[in-house]
Amino acid sequence: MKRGVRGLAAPLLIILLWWLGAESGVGPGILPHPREVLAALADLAARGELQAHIRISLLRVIQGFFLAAGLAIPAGILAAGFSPFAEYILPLLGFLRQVPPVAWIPVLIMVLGIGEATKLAVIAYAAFFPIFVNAVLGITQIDHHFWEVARLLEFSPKEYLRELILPAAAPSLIAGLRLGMSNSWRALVAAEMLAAFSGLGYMLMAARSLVRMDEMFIGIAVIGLLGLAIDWGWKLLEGYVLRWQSRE
Amino acid sequence: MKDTYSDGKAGNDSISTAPVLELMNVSKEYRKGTRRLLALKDLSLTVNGGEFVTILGQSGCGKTTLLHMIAGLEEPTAGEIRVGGKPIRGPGRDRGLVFQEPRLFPWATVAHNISLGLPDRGRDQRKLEELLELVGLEDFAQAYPKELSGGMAQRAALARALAGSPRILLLDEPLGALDAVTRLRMQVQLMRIWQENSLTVVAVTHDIDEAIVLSTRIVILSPRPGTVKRVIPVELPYPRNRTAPEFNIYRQELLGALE
Repeated sequence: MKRGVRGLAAPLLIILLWWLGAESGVGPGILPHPREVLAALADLAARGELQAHIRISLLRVIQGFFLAAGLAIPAGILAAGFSPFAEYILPLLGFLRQVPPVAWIPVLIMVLGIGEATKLAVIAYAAFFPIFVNAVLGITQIDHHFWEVARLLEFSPKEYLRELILPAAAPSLIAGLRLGMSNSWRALVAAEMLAAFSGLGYMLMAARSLVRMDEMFIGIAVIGLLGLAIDWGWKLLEGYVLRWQSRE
Repeated sequence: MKDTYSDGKAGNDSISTAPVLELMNVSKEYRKGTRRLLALKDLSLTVNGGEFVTILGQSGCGKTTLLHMIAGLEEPTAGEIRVGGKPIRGPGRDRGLVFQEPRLFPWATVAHNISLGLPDRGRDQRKLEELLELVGLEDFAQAYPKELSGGMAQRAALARALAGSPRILLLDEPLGALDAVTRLRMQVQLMRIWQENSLTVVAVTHDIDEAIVLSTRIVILSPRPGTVKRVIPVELPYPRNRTAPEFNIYRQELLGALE
């Protein structure tokens, strides 16, 4: 708790300095007064515009993220358990890992248009690699002693998955999912800035074309805070799933 | 020697002459690149129902390998292993193995770990409760392995190995990592479980006293490649008294045989 309170110090200091600066007339016309930002926030919220952008952005991230997880975890299990598969696929994945999700946006717009498919693909792409890599790592690092136990107890394929692979790889899997979610959130904003007519990224771009500095500030704050909230959610889930690690 | 102690009563009433386990000219060779390592050579041994046979030998004589082969985790390079007259194919419920370490799944509770040894995976709660009671872990059913002491964890591992109602219980120095007091207590519990459940036990150890306390027969393996050097029946009544002069005679004989 104490640490949480300490963490508030820096943001509060920045807001305070901002407020003082605006009051003393630093950068008029460029830096909006915090009061103006709050007023704009109230306005956006009252019109329901902000909520609509948040809803669509969250929906996109969740869809893209689940698509990525649904592909990356089975692929990770295959790659970890079946070494020829890994040999075929790893160089390609190594190449793709170097290409940032944003780089695909122009290509995807050409192929898929600027509909939902493009955004979904970018988000899923961004989330795929951390999930896949961590799944492979988590599974290949399972102690071979546990595999012996599983053989001795004559596990069925389903039991191998449910009783050994998933729980043993859980710390790594969850780390990958958490990182993947964070990546997809960032990729989402980029995708919405370049190829969307809704969502928080679009809201930012629209504010820029209308020179609404106050709305841009709101956009950035909302993106950051929502990302933080999602990450806290992951932390809670992690604590619950991995409770066997912490009990004394 | 035999004559001196022929009044010694075997601890397990159900000892029968039917062989439960037969090792026939078993050899095991490991290959690492071009190097070859012969771990066990031409080892033959017959274990009858209800016996408690301890395999004694210096470290590196292939004791663990032997036990893993009986359990079906490894295959002999040559020879055959039979259980109940039939050659084994991989692991099976007729054999339960307790490893040197407890090897409990850290993410599962004690009850869940033990239930994984049950053929129905614990759907029938009664059997699970029986096992928990057998090893005295009723109050720790919902604990995670991390929360257990070494002795408790090893008892949970024993319950998991017994869960499949095996004919043969294989013990790979399961008491090796325990402190002296816990170890003595576990020996008593092990005796009780062996006697009450008419089990056949094959154990591996390098502890001479433990071998004399527990076994109906002691098999001494030679150093690498491991092969049967001597078989010594222990004809002392149970429970065995470590301070008895007869105990000392066995101690000396085993020490001599191990050299």
